[in-house]
Amino acid sequence: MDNEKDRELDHLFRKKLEDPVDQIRYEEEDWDALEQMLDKQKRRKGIIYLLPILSGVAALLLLFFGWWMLQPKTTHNNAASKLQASIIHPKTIDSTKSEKIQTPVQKEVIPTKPNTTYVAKLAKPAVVNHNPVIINAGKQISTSTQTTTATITKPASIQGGTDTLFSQQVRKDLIAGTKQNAKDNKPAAPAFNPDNIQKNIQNELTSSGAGIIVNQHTLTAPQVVNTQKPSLVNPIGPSVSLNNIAANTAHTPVLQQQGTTTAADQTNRPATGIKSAIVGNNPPPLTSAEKMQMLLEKTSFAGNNNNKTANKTPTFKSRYSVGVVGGQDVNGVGSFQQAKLGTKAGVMFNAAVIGKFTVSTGSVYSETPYAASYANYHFPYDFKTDPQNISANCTMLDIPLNVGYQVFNNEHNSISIGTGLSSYIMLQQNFTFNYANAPTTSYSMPNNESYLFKIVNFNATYERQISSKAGIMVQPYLKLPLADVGYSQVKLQTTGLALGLTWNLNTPPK
Amino acid sequence: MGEEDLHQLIEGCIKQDRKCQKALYKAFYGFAMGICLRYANNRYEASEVLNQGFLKVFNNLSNFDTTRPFKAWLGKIMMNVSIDYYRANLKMAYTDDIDTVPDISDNALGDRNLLYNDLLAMVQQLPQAYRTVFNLFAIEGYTHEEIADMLNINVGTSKSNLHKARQKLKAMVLKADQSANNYNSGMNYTHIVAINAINMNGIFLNRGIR
Repeated sequence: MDNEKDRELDHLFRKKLEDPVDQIRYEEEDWDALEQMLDKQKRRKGIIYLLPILSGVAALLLLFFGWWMLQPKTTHNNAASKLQASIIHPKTIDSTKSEKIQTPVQKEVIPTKPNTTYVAKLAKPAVVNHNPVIINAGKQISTSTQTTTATITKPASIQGGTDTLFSQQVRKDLIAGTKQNAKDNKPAAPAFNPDNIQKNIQNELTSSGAGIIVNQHTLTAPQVVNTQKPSLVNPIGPSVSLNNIAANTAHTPVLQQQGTTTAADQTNRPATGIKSAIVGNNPPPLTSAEKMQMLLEKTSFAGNNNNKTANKTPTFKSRYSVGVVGGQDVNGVGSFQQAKLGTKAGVMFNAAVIGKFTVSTGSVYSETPYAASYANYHFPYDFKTDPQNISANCTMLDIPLNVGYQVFNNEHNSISIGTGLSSYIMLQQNFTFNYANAPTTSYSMPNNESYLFKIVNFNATYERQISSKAGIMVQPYLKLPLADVGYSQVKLQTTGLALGLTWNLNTPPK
Repeated sequence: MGEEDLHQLIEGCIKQDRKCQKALYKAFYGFAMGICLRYANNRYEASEVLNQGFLKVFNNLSNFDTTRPFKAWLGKIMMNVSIDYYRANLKMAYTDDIDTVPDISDNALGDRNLLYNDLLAMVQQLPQAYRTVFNLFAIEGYTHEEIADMLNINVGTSKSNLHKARQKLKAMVLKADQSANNYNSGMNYTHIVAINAINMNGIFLNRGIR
């Protein structure tokens, strides 16, 4: 009886509700809502399909940028060499005009000569010590001093065979050096040579009487040359060389007496005590201790300057650093055709090992949704009815072990490329089975299965140091499977872009 | 709309042609909404489920076998989406708006002259769990085993839910009868439902389709 009533009830509802098409009015608002959903889906799909391409382009740009940044140094040196060669060329300058062009020649010619050559050549003029004519002729000495500062520009005004030979030799050397530099396209040798300074000190201490003046004059030449040499490379260079000129005992005072314009004059730094010691007979000559002190000051100053020169292009190096990373990626099974967008966040540790090689590891929490047709999955059991499509969402820990190589590195920026292996530790796996003729079913599987070193990583990293400790990084990456992972045993591949903040653990050099 | 027109529409939808999508949507709106309304609590929910279903249809049209009836395929998708919605709202599934099930008289139920809107309103008043089982069993024709499998519930739960659904519906039918009698005897009665059955615009678009 009850069954019959139930059937009656069922029949009543089935008859009236089964196909009520004539009873329902179409609502335009519903279509508008669906249209919005379609548009949203289209945009999202566009982003998903573009992301792998964008990541690839970003990686290529990083590599190209790194390669390009390595080039300018060579180009700059070529330009410098050409400039030097063109300035050296007008060696037949009239002596009457030499005063006007003295300063530019000083600044531009001198850097071309390797300092070691100068020391060797200038050892000869020490013979001048034994030539009393030159020593006593203050004006002549001053002229020759001027020659040493201007080097090649005034060969005609040099008096005394030794000086002429010396000047010619220097000129030859300069031209030869310039040509050699131009040929080699090599950067100029470092200006600071402690050996020269040491020789200077020894010579000064061992010389005596009038010979000291000549010695100073003689020794000045390499110093002027040496210290001015980096003037094209380092803007600090000229001031250092001018200081040296001013501090040197020989030429500045004499030239001033002659009313000749010198580099020392231009610097407005008259060498007062020393001037009188040489030119006038009034003040007493400097003692050996004073000279020693002066030279030590010079040495330390020049040393500091050269340290600056040496530190001109300090590189950004962090031996150990930690960082937090986060990003979005695209996940696909076998391909990125049904790609889905995932997120990740984690911590990384980075250590510099040998040269430009770095090792990095960490722990990254990833939410990885993916979808694929049933054929791509390998479940450990058979379905009554095979699903058409399966979508999954895995949460897992990604533990990478990567090796990186720095392709570019300067004061604030570094670009490196890296590769390595990742291990996945699954935390939760959710599956949704979509059937053709049955409702969707879901299956959740909490587990912590590990898949050690089953994923190979490729990445390119651009890192910019924003303070002595902190930096930001951008890293496009690609993860390819070496084996099937997860409960469903799929070949899960991922590509995306990670952004991060890094913190250097080592103290930066002061 | 004939078969040929339908296939052209489907081809257009596969190419993401928005006009074809809208035409297909309008053509099967009534049929699809009828299914969603049975499973949903109200018109608003039904619209949401309907659009989710059509989104799925548009995304999977390329997999549709054109030798099979489109309407049946569409109906299946709408039913599956409705069940998915039910699963997503399981916490509300047993919320009972009617506190007690009234005694059911032995009056016959078969030949009641109840309108579609009246019956739909009754079904929508059922708790979602009861409604879903009743829809699947009484209207779609599934067995308790199949329903248990589809909804991830026990067969016993399915039977129990169906029984409770029937009890409630019987009570509502009888109550509606009493109201009708009162109306006939001069009492004013207005049944408010979500459907406007008077406006017939665009409801004959899918005539002639299997």
